[in-house]
This record gives sequence, structure tokens and C-alpha cells, in this order.
Amino acid sequence: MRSPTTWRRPAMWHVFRSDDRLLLIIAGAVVGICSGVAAVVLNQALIAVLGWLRSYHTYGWSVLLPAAGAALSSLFLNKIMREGAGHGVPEVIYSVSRYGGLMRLRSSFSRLISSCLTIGSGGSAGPEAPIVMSGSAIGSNIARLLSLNDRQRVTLVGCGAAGAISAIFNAPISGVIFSMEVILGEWAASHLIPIAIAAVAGTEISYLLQGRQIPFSHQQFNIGFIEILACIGLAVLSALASIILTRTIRAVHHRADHIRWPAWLKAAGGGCAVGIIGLYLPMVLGEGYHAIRTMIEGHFAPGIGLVFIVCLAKIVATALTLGSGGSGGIFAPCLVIGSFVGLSYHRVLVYLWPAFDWVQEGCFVLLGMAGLISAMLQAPLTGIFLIVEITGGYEVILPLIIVSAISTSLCHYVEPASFYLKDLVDKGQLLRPGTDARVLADLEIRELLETDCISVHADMLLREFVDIVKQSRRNLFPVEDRRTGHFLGMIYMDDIRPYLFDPLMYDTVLVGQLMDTQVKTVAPDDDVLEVMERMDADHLFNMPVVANQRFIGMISKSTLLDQYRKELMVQTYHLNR
Amino acid sequence: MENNHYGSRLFQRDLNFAMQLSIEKIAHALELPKGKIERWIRQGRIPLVRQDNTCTFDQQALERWASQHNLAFRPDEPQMPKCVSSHENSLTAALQNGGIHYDVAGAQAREVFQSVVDGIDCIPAANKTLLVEKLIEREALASTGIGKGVAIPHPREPESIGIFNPAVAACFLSAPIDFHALDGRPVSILFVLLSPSVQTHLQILSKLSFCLRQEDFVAFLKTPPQPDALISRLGQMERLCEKQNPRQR
Amino acid sequence: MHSQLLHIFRNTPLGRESFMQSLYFCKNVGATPVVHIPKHIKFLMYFDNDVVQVDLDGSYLTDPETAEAHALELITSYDLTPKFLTPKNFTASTLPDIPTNFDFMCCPRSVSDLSSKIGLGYIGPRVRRIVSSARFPVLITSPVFKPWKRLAVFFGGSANALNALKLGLRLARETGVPLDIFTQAENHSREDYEAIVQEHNLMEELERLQRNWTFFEEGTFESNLYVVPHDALVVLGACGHGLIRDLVFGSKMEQIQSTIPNNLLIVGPYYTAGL
Repeated sequence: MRSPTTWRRPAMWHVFRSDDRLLLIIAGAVVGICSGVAAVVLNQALIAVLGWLRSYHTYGWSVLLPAAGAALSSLFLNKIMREGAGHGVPEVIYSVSRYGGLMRLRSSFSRLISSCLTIGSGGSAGPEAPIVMSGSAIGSNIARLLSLNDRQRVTLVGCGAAGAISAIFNAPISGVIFSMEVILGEWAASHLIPIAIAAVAGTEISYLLQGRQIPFSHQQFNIGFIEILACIGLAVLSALASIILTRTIRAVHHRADHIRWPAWLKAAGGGCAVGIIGLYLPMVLGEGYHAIRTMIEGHFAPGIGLVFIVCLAKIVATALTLGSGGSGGIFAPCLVIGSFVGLSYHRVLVYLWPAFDWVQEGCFVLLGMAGLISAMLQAPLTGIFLIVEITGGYEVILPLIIVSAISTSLCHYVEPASFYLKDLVDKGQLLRPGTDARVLADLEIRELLETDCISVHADMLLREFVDIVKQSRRNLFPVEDRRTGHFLGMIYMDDIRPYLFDPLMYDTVLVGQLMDTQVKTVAPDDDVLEVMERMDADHLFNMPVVANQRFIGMISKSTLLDQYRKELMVQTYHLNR
Repeated sequence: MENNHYGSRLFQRDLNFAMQLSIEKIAHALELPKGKIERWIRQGRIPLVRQDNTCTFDQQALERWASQHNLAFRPDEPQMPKCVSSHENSLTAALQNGGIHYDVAGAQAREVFQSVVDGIDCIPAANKTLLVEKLIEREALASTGIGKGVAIPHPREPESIGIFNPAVAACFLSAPIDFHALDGRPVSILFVLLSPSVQTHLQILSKLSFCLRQEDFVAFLKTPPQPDALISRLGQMERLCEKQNPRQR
Repeated sequence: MHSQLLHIFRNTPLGRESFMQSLYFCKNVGATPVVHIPKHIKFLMYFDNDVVQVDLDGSYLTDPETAEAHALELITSYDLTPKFLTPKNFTASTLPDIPTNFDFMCCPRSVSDLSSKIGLGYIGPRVRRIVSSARFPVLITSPVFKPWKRLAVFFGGSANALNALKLGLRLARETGVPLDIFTQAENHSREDYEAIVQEHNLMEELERLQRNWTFFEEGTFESNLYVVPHDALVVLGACGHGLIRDLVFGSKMEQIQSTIPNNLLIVGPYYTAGL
């Protein structure tokens, strides 16, 4: 390991050496500020682009604007930044779970630019996921600058994500909860304080630069018992909507994969379709926060049927934008679709029971949003706290909890993995801390190797072999070729016990006649999980490790258990405190 | 990291971070593979600060960490397991302790044992009668006459005799006696084995049995040999035995 | 000793030269070559403290149908066991992760640029980042295959150079080829350098294995480099002394790589020599 001058490694300064919490808090605050700045930059850029393009919406060819934006964003991402396609947040989760949060520097700003192009031109996506990815990448690279270890780096990545969400929604608590629930996947005390500080820093910088703005105004709602019962219906509906959304996006993705066009052309195609939809239903384009605002305030004009159609159109538009290669997140579309669902449900209720004094429709809009976010992200707490914070009101918290919890459970039943985790789970690559897969992923064959076996040669007499048995501490002996040293087979004590005590055989039997040549071997860089499965399948407790045709040691289940347990205790210690 | 009172150690002078060890020594002290320690340092799971191959740490903190994770931190344990020095278990040394006795008189086992035990100096006088009884007790269980005229009497619980170094007394009887040996022949040579522990006893016995398996050695014993010749011959055989069975060293 | 060398195979005549170099190295040192035939134009390598994205030059994806057969043919001609690496983890659908737990890696001077840029004096930015972050030494091959018959270690006295020296000694011990050491003695005497070696208990082994320890006392470094044998594998450290050692490669290293065309085995700052 390098021995740089100590000033380059703050983790080694006297103040921080015994307790790194202060270092993480300071670094977390810095990361939070940077994420906040990134959020503000994207927000202002989007406002600017939207303002600039507004004047062109009257023209007929404005249908092509989303196509152009999506194509440009795809070209930028693939050719200039040379970054692979992807939604962003799954990449953050993948890197946190597997590599201690290492992320490339280019991820700090590439998604900001590309999503600005996509969303600004009218694509139906949200700016949240790109900002989360930028913030996380900023956190990761600041950790790299400070030469921090994996655990500290993961904390800073979490700080970046928290700062991002807090800055976008002016909602620090949601930022913290989102970061710990979705990105990190564990609620560890050592992460909490720096992440909270980062969330506050992000919010403050956003206030400073953009002014205090709660995105949606606070309305007073009076909830009665019947409304709470009605929430259950809404929960079911939002779960349904989230399933439809996920499946549609996946279907478009799948279909797009099969089309043999270059990436930017596919993105352009998707954008074109979105543009056409947008021609008839302009509220479907872009983030959609304006529409949500009107709905909460109760001023959304169109009737039930149209609301339904808009809702479906939004689902399709989002699927087209994201599935065909556009760059953006799922957060904002979820909020919009959720609000449409809530709105239509409320209008149906009013239609069916007009006599009853229902609460204003704005309330159900909020509940719909919460339901959909919770179901899509499989993160009920994030949904609840986000809605509470962005609307500034606590009265709705009881129905919020009901809707979030029920819709999450229902969605989980049909689609067990959240939208972000789906790809990882499908490829079997999701590693959550403290799980069996995580512990096994860390173990290596080299660490489990037992090297106390004595090798014998195939042309040895049994008499010489007996002398070797006297000296050995094991019941297995690898057999090697005398000339080349190649591994030929194994001798198992169980197999030769009957012959060991018969002096008559000592000079008449060669070791080569006793060995088992059909023995299954393991290579030193094999995956420990695979090796365990092989052992289970063949009912073996020991296997020889062979590299380059040479025997280097044994793997046994007992050593594996010992090391597994030590690893597990170290990995989950803070979870059990 | 452990749950310190927050902030109290921030400004404490860095008195404790004094311990420095190489990674290999730490891995040995924790009884874990080196690769695992390196990985835990990289992941931040163990309170060590690494620079090249040495680690700096606070010993108390590391010991606390180890106990919290069910590991033992033993930095002072020697690298190799203690092996008993070969000198203590050497057959020749034991023979020199026990002595070589010629013309031992006696018509039966008990008398022979009495004469032999009287002649051995390294046993405390108080234990001599006890030793004779133990030898007879052992004979009663099963004869120690292993054939070819040689017997290897020994007490069943060697610790009770109270000697600190193994001793083998080689006794050449004046007249062969009946020992109910395995091959029925009368016995004229005795090797009385005395050891401080069962392990030592087994090791000495194993070496002796290796020697006695060789026909020419038994023939040599029957001569009977002079003390120097016997000791040097026994030394030769012992080296041969050790070469073939290094684990017994 | 069981060690592994990672090689990214390029299915072109130029790539063949590079590959033969790797195989020759493996054969002599007793390492197993692990060959990756790229299916995507870029991949990620996650090191301890850095993630490096390697964007390969388009020529790395030439003729995928014949790539494996060609590689196999070359491997068997050197009597080695073939071992191919297929990445199991992907950061994004077109971005595989290549593991980094190898003992050596072979790179040409540049992986991202056209083959024309492989002349002297140029080491591509990706290769530089790999050297700076990796735990293993990187073998940078000369454009044309030439079997090396001796080792030349450059020792400058820094901690990094010491690791290079240990690596050189280890290779000399395993391969049995003669070892020469070169030092540019600037402001220090021969005794100072020998004292450093003595301090780390390497003197005995050094005397046993080395053939010559040449001290350049006069003349410019570049002109002194002429005495480095043409058929030597040069082992050197990447970093130098001083404050900026963490940011850029050492000046000696830059001079060496721009003057001599031999194969270079560069030891980065994160390399810890074994015994």
C-alpha cells in the first residue's frame, strides 16, 4: 500500500484516528452542499430550457422536440461520456453493495446534462434519479480524495443521495430515509448522523440558492372514518398502477432491445411517440409538477374519463421515454401518475356517493402519490415522509400510512423486487449487507486453503506410505506425479483402512492402485458459493484445490464454517448492537 | 467502532496509538488468514490504520474489538507450536538416567524387580517399594515379555513414580527367568521404562520397539555388550528411527 | 508459486506480439495466463480506492469468431493451460466488471488509442491509472515480441523502488536469469544506497542473485541508459520521491519509458512485494 505523506490521508490525522465520526460529519456536510448545488443547477437548467422552448410549442414540428432531446441525450451519454446506459440509481446500489461505493467521476455530471436534454425537451421522466446519482458520485469521489475505507465511503455515498433528495424536495427527513432505505439498505447508527447532516446541508443550500419553496402548497384536510376506509381501495388501485407501470417500462425496454437501430435512433423514436401523445395531452410531457399542484388545489378541470386517459397516457409516455433509452428517473412520473390515480378514484367515489361529504380531492391526490411511490420503490417510509414534508401537513399521516403500507405489500406480492432493484435481482447480483450472499461474496478460496496435507507419489510402495501416514495429521493424501508434479488423484483413509494393517501387502501394493482419480477439484479463483453448491450436490466435505495441474491445498466445510462465521460477525456486528 | 462518549476522545492526546505490528503478525495473533485482515482494513471493519505492510493501532481498542467479535487477540504467542526438545525424550539420555545393570539376580519376576529397582539411582527412595508393586501390577495385566528373550516392564501410571526425566534401565539377568512371554521363551534382558508422563512413555516405547524389531540389534544385546558400545549403538538406531519418523522427534 | 496474469486479447497481428510476450513471461515465471476476449468496448476495474473505466480501441473487437481459436493456439504452443475469463458482474448492461485480484497484468502502451500511438514516450492515460491504482505490477510490452534473457532493475532508493527491487529479486530467484541493478547516483553515494538495501535485509539475497550493480555517476540519465541490455526485462517503480509523487509518475520513470524499447514491468504505489 502506498505510504503518502500523511496530510493526504485525513483518516490518519491525530484528531480523527481514533474516531472518524467528526471527519465523516464534515465530509458529509461538504457532500451535502455539493449535491444541493447539483440539484439547484439541474432545476434551474430545466426551468431555463423549458422557458426557452415554450415559445416553440405553437409550431407543428414541436412534436419532434422530445425526439431531438432524447437523441441528443443518448449521443452525449454514449459517445462523449462513454457511459453505459442505465437508470442511474441501480448503479449506485450495485456499487454500494458490492464495491464499497466506488463510482466513476464522470457520473457526477454526465447524468445531469443528459437528463436536462431529455426532460427539458419534453420527455416524461423525473430529474431526481440523475441528481441522486450525481450526488452519490460526488460523495464517492470526495471519499476517494480523502482515501477513506469502504465503510466510510459508503456513508459518503449515502450522504450524497440524501443531500440530493433533500435539496430537490426541500425535505431533509425524506432524504435521510430514502438514502438509508433504498440506497444503503441498512439502518446503521454510524451512517445516520453524517447522512442527516448532509440532508440538512442540501436543504439549506437549496434554500440559499433558490429560496424557500415547498413544491406543493399546504391545504387543510379533514379526514373522517369513511375516508380512511376508502383509502384501502386507493391502495389497491395504486398497487395496480405501479405494476402496470413497471411492466410497461419493461416491455418497451425489451422490445427496444430487439430492434437493431443505433441507440440514439431508438431514443429518438421513443421521443417521437411521446411528442405525438404530448400534442393531444400536453400535461403528460416533462416532470408534471405543475399538474400536481393544480390537482392538490382542486382546480384540475377535466372530468373522470379524461383523467383516466391522462393517467394511462402518462404511463405510456414514461415507459416510452425511459424504455427507449432516454435519461431520467422514475420518481416524478410516479408522483404524477399517483396523483392522477388518486384524483380519478376520488372522482369515482364522489360520482357513486354524491350525498356523502367527501374530503376535498386534493387529499386523495396526496394519498395516491404516496401509494404509488411506496409501491414502486418498495419503500413505504420514504413515501410517507416525502408526502408529509412536501405538503407541509401532518393531518393526513394516518391515511398515508395505511395507503403506503397496503400498496407496498400488495405490490410486493406480485413484483417482489422494487423497480430499482429488479435488474439486479434478475441477474442474481443484488447483495444486501449482512446476507448470506454478501458474506460468501467476500470469502475467497485462498483464505480457506488448508496446506497441511502431505503429498505422495504414485509409484510408492504401501510400506513407504505407511511411514508417511505416521507423520501426517490428516486422512487425505494427494498423489502427485514424480516427474512433473501434476496432481493425479487423492487417497482417502477410509478407502484404504482395510489394507493398512496387513503387512503382507506392504511390499506388493503401489500407492497408485489405491488412489481415486475421479476426484472433483476446485480452482483457486472459483466462487465460494459455487464451490459450496458443488459440495452439497456431491455430499463432499473436502475438496482439493488444483491450479495449473498442481495441488495447492484442501478446502473443507469445517474451515469454511469457521471463516464464514467470523466474516458474518464482523459484517453484521453493528446491526446487532 | 465502539460507542465512545461522543467527542470525549477527539482532543485527547494520541497516547494510545503506539502499537505497530506487521500484517502477518496481526493475522497470526488473531488466527486469521492475512488476506482476510487486508480485506477488513480496506472495508473499514477492523480498527487498524495501514501503511505499507505495518499497521498502527491502539491495543486496547483492538482487544475490545476482538472480544466483541468472538475472536482472540494474542500478539505474544510464539509462531511455532512448542515442541518438546528432542534431548528430553532421547532414548540414549534415558538410558544414561536409568543405567545399565549386569548380572541382576532373581529367580522370579518380583525378586528381579526388587534388585533392579534397588539399583536405579534416579528414583526417590520413598517410591521404590511403590514402583515394584506397580511393575508387578502391570505384569499381572499382561506380560511385558515381547519375545526373543526381551521384556519391557513399566508402571501403568508413570506419573505416580515422581521422576522428572525419562529413564530406561537396561538389565542383563544373571539367569533367564520365565516371564510368560508372548513366544514362551525365558527372558534374559529387561528394559525398565520410567517416564514423567504418558506421552513421553509412548515416545520412548516407540523408539525402543523400533530398535528391538531389528534382529541384529537383539543379537547384539545377547552378547552382552559393554556400556559404551550399547549406548553408541542405541544412539545410532535412534537417529535412524528419527529420520524415518520425524513426527516423533 | 501460483500466480495469475491478466491479458486482454486483441485479435490482430499486433495483439499477437503482445500476447506472445505475456505467454513468455508466464512460462518463465510460472504464472497462469488468464485471457479475456472482450465482447464490449469498455469495462470497469474496481480497485481498492479507485474505479477505472477502460475504453478499448475498436481493434480489440476484431473478428470475435476466430479470437478464441487464435488465443488457444498460441497458449498451447507455449505448453500452458488455457484459462479464459468471462465477466460475471456487470455495472450496466454494456459495462462488465473485470476482477482485479491478479498477480500481474499485461498491457500495451495504450489500450484506448489507435495502434499507431504505441511508440516510445507514450503511455496512455488508462494504463497510467491502472498502474497507479493496482495492487499488481503491470507488464508493458514492446511492440514486437522478443524473448528476454536477463533482468534489469532500476533502484532509486524510494519505498516504491524498494518494492521494485524485491520483485526483481523474486523474479531472478524463480527464473534463474542474471540480474543487473542500475542506479543514478544523484547527491548520494553508493554506500547510501547499499545502506538502504542492508536496512531491509536484502543485501544477502542481492549479493547472491545480482550480476552487476551499476552506478551512474556522471552524464545525463538518458545517455547512461544505453548500457541497459537490449534483451532485458526492465523492472522499475512508477513513483519517485517528493510531494507530488502521488499525482504523477516519477521523472526517472518517464525518462526510462521514453528512451528504451524493452519490456517494462512497472510497480505501482499500491504494490506490496511478498517475501
